[in-house]
Amino acid sequence: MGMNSVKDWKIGTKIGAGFGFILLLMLLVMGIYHTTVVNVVGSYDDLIANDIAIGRLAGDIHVGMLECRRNEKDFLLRQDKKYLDQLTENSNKVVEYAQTLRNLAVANGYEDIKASAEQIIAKITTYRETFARVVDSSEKMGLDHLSGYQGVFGKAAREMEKDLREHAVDDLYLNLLMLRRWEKDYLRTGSRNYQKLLIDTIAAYRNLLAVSPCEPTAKKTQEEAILRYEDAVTALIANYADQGKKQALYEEMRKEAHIIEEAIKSVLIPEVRPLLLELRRLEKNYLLRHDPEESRQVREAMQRLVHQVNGAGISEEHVGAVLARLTEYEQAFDGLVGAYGAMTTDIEQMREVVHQVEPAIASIGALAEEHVNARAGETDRRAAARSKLSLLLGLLSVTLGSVFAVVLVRAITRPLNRAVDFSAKIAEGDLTHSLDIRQQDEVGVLAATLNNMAATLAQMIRKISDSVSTISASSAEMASVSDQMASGSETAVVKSNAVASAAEEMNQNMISVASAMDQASTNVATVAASVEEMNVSIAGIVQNAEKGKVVAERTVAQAQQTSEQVNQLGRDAEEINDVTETIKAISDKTNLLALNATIEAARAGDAGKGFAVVANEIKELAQQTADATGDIARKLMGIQKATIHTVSDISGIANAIGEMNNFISIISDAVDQQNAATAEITENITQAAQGLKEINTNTSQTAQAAALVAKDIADVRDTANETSNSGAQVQQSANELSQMAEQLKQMVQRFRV
Amino acid sequence: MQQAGGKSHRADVTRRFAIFFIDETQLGVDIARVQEINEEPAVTKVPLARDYVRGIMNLRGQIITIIDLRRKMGFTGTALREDKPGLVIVNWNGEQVGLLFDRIGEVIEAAATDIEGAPANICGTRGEFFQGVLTTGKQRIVALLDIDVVLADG
Repeated sequence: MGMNSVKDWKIGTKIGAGFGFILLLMLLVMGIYHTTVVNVVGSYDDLIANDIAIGRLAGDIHVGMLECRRNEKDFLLRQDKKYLDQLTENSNKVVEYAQTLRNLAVANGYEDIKASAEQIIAKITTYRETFARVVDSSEKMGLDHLSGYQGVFGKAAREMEKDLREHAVDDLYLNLLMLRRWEKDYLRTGSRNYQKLLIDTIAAYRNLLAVSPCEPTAKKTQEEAILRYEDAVTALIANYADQGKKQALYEEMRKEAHIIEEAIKSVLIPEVRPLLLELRRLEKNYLLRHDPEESRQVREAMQRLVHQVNGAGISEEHVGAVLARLTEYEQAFDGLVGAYGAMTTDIEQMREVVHQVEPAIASIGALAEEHVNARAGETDRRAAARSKLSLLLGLLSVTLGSVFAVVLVRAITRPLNRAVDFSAKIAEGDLTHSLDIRQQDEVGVLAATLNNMAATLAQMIRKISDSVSTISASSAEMASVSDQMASGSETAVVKSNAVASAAEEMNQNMISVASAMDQASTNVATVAASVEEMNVSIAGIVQNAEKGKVVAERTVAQAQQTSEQVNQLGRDAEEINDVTETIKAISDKTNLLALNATIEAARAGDAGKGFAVVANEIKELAQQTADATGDIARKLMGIQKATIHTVSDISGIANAIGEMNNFISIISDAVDQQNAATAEITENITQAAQGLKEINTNTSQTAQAAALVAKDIADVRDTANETSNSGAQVQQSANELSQMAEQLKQMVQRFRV
Repeated sequence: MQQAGGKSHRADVTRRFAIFFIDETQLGVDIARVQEINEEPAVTKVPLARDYVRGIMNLRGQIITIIDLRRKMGFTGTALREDKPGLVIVNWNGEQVGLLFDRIGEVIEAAATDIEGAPANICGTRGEFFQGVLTTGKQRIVALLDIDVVLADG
């Protein structure tokens, strides 16, 4: 029943339902594909965004760290507190980046990156605190040489140096000793030289004392004493000769000198200046390099200085002051060394922290890449699975679509094919079948309509078949009747044609005969007149021919005689030629002889001269003879040639005349015969002319009669022709009708009703 | 003898020459060297002789050699032979030799000044055969034979 209900659907509904189903499946496949692609693209976008963000944050942290390190170095180098602020700021930034990184890692579930970020935060905090301590230490130490331990130390060093300088009076003592020497020398010798040295040395001492850093009390004592000493010396010089005064004054001098010496010795610490210089030099070395070895050297130098102070014979009061200064200096130095040590430790710790942070930063990049790869792999696997699913669905939809297409095509084409077969049978003329398709769709309607059409056609063809039989019989009858009529009229035409052509021919012949007769009469008259004229001419010719014959015979005889004479002349000329040959030979010989004679004469010399003349004459003569003979010979040759020509010409003439004579005889005979014939012709022509006239008259009458006959026959023929044409037309129509009836019959017979 | 004779002639103002023809070339022989001039002789052929030796003849009891001047001097072409060939008998080395030529001419007198040096070649013959060339008034050119040279290499 379900199948039947599908059959009853309209074709459009069937196709629509099928395609709709397949399109729905396709839509499903497309939906799955779309979701997959969106997922994959989204995953990749996330990946790219996270990767970029993590990479960028790692870079920022790295840069921030570098900034911090730079600030640290700047501070250590320049001891400026502003770098502490900068470092704090930068390290805060790094902590901020690390926080962001940590959050990102937590969001993506990257535990290891999160750990790295937290480590970075902790270490950076430590680093910042340590640096703060370093700064603190530096501050304690003194950011410049006037503050902190440095300031204290510097001050102690300066005061110590100032105090010690007051005890560095070696030069004064040396000068005093020199003064005492010159004093003794002068006193002993009284020489002016020593006197001058003494006075000069006193001046030098005073000058030296004026600029000396000597302790003020001692210095004052010395100044007063040296003045008194100088006075004493001046007095001594004045009273040198007075032995009593001299002694007194000398005692005074010694007393003053002693006062000076005591004053010096109360403050003099020998060699204190180089020791101080060495201490300060070593101290600078330490301050420059902070080497523990150098701090030890500083302490040693200090010990040496203390030892020197203690060893000097100066007053207890002075010793105490100097040593107090030295102790102050030492304490300041110790504070400096201690602060520096603490700072160094802090810096070391700071470096350690930095070295822990840097690998953590570096590791973040690698970790991020690992995660990216892992997630990309996951996305690929998911995309592949979805792709497989949608491919399966696609295959399913194609299979279902194909099955449906086959069912649909068969549902439509099978009944249609049956309808086609049925209509093919109708086309062949078989109307006995009917179509059995029980369907409610378009094909069912087509089948019902075809069945109706076949029934109606069968009925119509039965009626046509009856009518055609009747027409066929009638047209056959009509054709046979008209056939008979046509053959009768054709016979009439043929016969009348024969008569007409015979009459026409006769008429033509008559006309020809008549015209020929006219021409003949005219010609005969012309001939008769000509024959008359000819008769007269022929008589003249006969007479002249006779005369010509006589003259010709006479001429021939004369020509023969002339020929004979000329031949004789030729023979004579040949004889003369023989003679001239002989004469030529003789003259040649004579010439030769004359030549030889000339030669002989020449050989004879003067005696032969006369003979030579004669020989020459002979030669000349012989030459002339030869020339003349040559002339004669040439002329004779001419005569002979002329003779031969003449003989041949004459014989030619004789022959011509002979031939002429013959011709004249022939003409004469012919004319005689012609004369007789002409007479006969004349008579016959006259008779012929007469006969011709009669024939002419008869021919004209006959011709007129023949023309009348011909005209009547032509009328008869035309009538018969018309009859024949009409019969033929009738017959043709009957035949055509018969053929049409036949065709119709055949066509109708093709149908099986 | 003949050298002396030649010199005495050269001293004279005029010289005489017997003229004869080979083809149209006029050849002259000093008349002093000429014994006589004759017509074509009856020659007896001599076997194995050189091609320019026609043969020998008997001249009034004396046997003389006949030289065909045309061949001897290397004239090219064939003779026209319109006239009978002539024979000039000359004295050479104390004997007489006959020279055959085409046609007899005449005896002419010529001033020594009219004689010019021979060109290297005259009508295909060797120049050394000629003593000189004589130009006469009628524009005729006569080649003067040096008999001694002509007969020398025989």
